[in-house]
Amino acid sequence: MLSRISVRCGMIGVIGHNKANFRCGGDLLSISCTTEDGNVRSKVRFGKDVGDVDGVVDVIVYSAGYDELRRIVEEEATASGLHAEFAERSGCHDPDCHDPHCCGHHHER
Amino acid sequence: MRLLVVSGMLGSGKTSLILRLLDGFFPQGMKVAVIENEFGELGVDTEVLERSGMPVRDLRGGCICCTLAGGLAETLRNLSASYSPDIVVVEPTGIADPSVVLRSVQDVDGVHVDRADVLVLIDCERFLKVRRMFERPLRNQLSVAAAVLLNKTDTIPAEDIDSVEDGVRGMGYAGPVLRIRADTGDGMERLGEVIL
Repeated sequence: MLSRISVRCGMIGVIGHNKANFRCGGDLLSISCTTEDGNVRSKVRFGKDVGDVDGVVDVIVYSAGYDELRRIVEEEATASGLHAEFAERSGCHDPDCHDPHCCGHHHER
Repeated sequence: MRLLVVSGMLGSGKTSLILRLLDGFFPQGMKVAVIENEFGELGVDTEVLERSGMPVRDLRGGCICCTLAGGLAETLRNLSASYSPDIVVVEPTGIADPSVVLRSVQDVDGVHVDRADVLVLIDCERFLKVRRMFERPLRNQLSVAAAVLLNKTDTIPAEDIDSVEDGVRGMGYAGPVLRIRADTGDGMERLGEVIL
């Protein structure tokens, strides 16, 4: 799923790095993937077979709009049989603002 | 207290390198802490780093070289008071200017930084793209780097790694360049000469 999300993000943004942590009990899987090739690398792996998992996917793609990224994540999560909820976005909501340093409604840096 | 700023653009391998450093790189008995700065609202990397057993403080939803600069100073002060670390490893966001980070921790009440080093990680596979798109932030990082670490050396042929190093030199950087794999620790032996 993270690979597919990253490849699709790479088609709409300049450069990106997507990360995900999945938990099952006290076990953790931590993976990441750049938007270049969709190769997923793991930092921490599950120590045993797991059942239901919950987790967080962090998608950071420069010059890509929030709504489009959200749609990609939602579609790929659903295709993987996962239910996705989204953290409320903060920072700049201006679709015409492409400043990666922009942090708010008034274009603070 | 020493400060080690692990800098590098988005996806260059900063968190993977810090995990390697926390896994026996520092001399036994050295008290190490980590300050993690994530752009996202949810602390994905912090959760991973906390499994090292070292104290990790996170600053989220902004950048410590601008919007969260005050938060970095306060976090350092609190860490100093509660844990007295010998070295604090700081992971800024990808576009952060490490020189601004260093300036923001000077003259913080209750914190004495006696040495600060900046490492700059570069993802070999996308160096050309990063240089083209983010030349200014990259130059800012290289201008204060104690060492440049060419990471993900498994993703491109050896001759292309030479080209990446030439590219880094071409941006005016004259210090040590190490070729590493942060995920396996390959090539990190010489890093101790630079930061220890």
